[in-house]
Amino acid sequence: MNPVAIIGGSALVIGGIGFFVGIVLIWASQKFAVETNPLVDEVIEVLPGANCGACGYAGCADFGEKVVDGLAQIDGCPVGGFDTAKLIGELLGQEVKEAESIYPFVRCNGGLNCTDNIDYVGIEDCRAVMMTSIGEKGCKYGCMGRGTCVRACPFGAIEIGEDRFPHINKNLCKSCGLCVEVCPNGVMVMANDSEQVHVLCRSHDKGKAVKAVCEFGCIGCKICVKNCPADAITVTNFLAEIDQEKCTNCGQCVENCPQKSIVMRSTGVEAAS
Amino acid sequence: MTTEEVKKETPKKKKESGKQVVIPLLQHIGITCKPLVKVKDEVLIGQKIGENSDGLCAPVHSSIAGHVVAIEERLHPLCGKISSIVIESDETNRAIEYNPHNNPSKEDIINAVQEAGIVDLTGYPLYDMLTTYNRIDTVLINLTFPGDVNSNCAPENIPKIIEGMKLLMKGSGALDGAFIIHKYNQSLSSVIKSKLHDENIEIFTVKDNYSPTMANLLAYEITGIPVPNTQTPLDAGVILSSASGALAVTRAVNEGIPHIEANVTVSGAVRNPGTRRVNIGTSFKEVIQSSGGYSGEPGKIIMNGSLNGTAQPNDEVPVIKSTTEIIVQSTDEVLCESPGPCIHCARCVDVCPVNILPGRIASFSDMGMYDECFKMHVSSCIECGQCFYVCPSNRHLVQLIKFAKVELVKLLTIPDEEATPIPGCQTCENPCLLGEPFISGGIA
Repeated sequence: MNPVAIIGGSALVIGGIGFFVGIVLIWASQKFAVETNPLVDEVIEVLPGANCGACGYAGCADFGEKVVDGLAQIDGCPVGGFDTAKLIGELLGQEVKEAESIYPFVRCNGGLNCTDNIDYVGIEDCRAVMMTSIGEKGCKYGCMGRGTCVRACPFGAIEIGEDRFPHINKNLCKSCGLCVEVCPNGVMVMANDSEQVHVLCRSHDKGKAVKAVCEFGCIGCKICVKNCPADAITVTNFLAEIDQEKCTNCGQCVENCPQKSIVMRSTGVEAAS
Repeated sequence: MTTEEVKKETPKKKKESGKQVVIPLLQHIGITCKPLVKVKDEVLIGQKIGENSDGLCAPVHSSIAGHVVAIEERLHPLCGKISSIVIESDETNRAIEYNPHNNPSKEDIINAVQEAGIVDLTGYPLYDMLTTYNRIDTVLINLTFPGDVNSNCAPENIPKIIEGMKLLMKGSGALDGAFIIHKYNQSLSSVIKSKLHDENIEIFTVKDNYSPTMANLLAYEITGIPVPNTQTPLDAGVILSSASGALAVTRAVNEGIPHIEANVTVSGAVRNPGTRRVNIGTSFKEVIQSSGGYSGEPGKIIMNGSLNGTAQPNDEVPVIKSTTEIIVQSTDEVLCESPGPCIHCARCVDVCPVNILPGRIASFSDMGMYDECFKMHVSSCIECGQCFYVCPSNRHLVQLIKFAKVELVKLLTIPDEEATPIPGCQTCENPCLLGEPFISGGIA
């Protein structure tokens, strides 16, 4: 057969199919078009697009729809923060006030200062370590340092340092709070930068038991309670808690703490270790 | 001290009494006992020192004569720290007056088993097996678990085990009984055949070793009644016990002695391995010392089987009622290699006795996709440990599967905050799998 006829014939057939399908698609896209709110698309455009779910919705698109419908808060995206909220506010014609940025913060001072019970061999996950009968560390309340928060962070903002503590990179952190949610011991907490004074211990054990396993654990001695001029500290179950609303950052408790478990952290500095 | 001297001082099977025993108030699946004694009280051998009538509970008894030193939280071989009664021996063997039954009726047997606080290898109180279900057809005694057989099936114990079987059949009203023996264990099977003079009791040979966690599979293998993983063999009208349970029943009914002793086999890196009769509450350290002490540096101590036993945090943990075997591994033998990637060889699939895909489930668990694990029937896993054993990449398959189970329990219990994850266990608030037959796995 003539090669020209073969090529020409097949080009004609395939081109014809393409032309026909194209017409069908154009017709279908007009006939079955779903009407979308153009505002929703604009809002989705300004969202970060990480689909992390930290807002509580299925993803950025879902959050965008809910914001336009008025079901979600304009500043509900913790990742985008104030900048995104401002853009959404401009689109929806609402004003947004800037809130103070909050970052996760590790309330434990154990790490290498804490004794080890067992040589753990197994999967690298704090929750799995907590499943062993007595736990890897002498203190069952503290940071296990196995990096569950590291894997939970969608932005790569956390890494385990040489001191076996998670270190938070504030440039990458979007304050989504997933690390706080996933921590099995509740060691992580979101804290304002203005909240300076923190108790770096979660142990509810008695003083003697705490001293046996950790150099810097809170023993519940109540010296901080006596010294606090603002009555902001309470000791429940051998653990001091600071009421951040009452705290004036005076630093009296930090100076008097015999275990050095209460620390003053300056803005932008990681947890003392 | 040379090995010969040790052998002279502690001849095999000599009864040992430690200077101090620690008796945990929870040695069973159920609720913790309340202590019946106070600090400085004097106790005798066999005296009941803990009981709780509020729920499923097996009472605990003192295994030595002496006085109570402390009631405090001590290490437990299975579940962290449990409040325990510490008794110091006064070097006498004063015992309470035992109350043996010569020709026991059904009620006598049930009462004796309950009072003696007998706990089976699975950790389940034996009296509950006899009373909870109205219709029990068959009593099976599993003689395929190597730890149990090594410890309790010495030839002089065989008549007692057969007697225990008869008592269990009478106590439960079952008409049939069967011993299940591995097909290569010809010697045990011939010994039992020679001692057995009862038409209703049969001997079955099987080609696998069944650990206590594989109770449902074994019941299906013998009776042909499928037992789903949400049920126990009891739901199929089968009591599945072990040699240690049968021995304890015989001792409780015929001699009136409560469950205060266990036969423990010590093996591995010890100078003089063998079986010993040990008081409940003796620390592993004393048991190992009486076996000649460690040979070499100890790396890992495992209770009840190297495949699905539980690794111990140290050697201070006490022997409990369900202890049959202590395995000591030296530091060279302990597996410390980090896991490699899955090479899809499917050896775990071939070896899995419940026909799930351990490698796939473990991968989903590693990625945090617990709902996918649920769809792949992660709850069917009986944590026998065989997949971890054959895995050429040393992946922590059993631990990942166990982890997925615990995370699923957490996910499923979020809506109802009042509910405790495992009904019956009130020891702590942490989710664990003690409510399921035995916790186990490849945790180091």
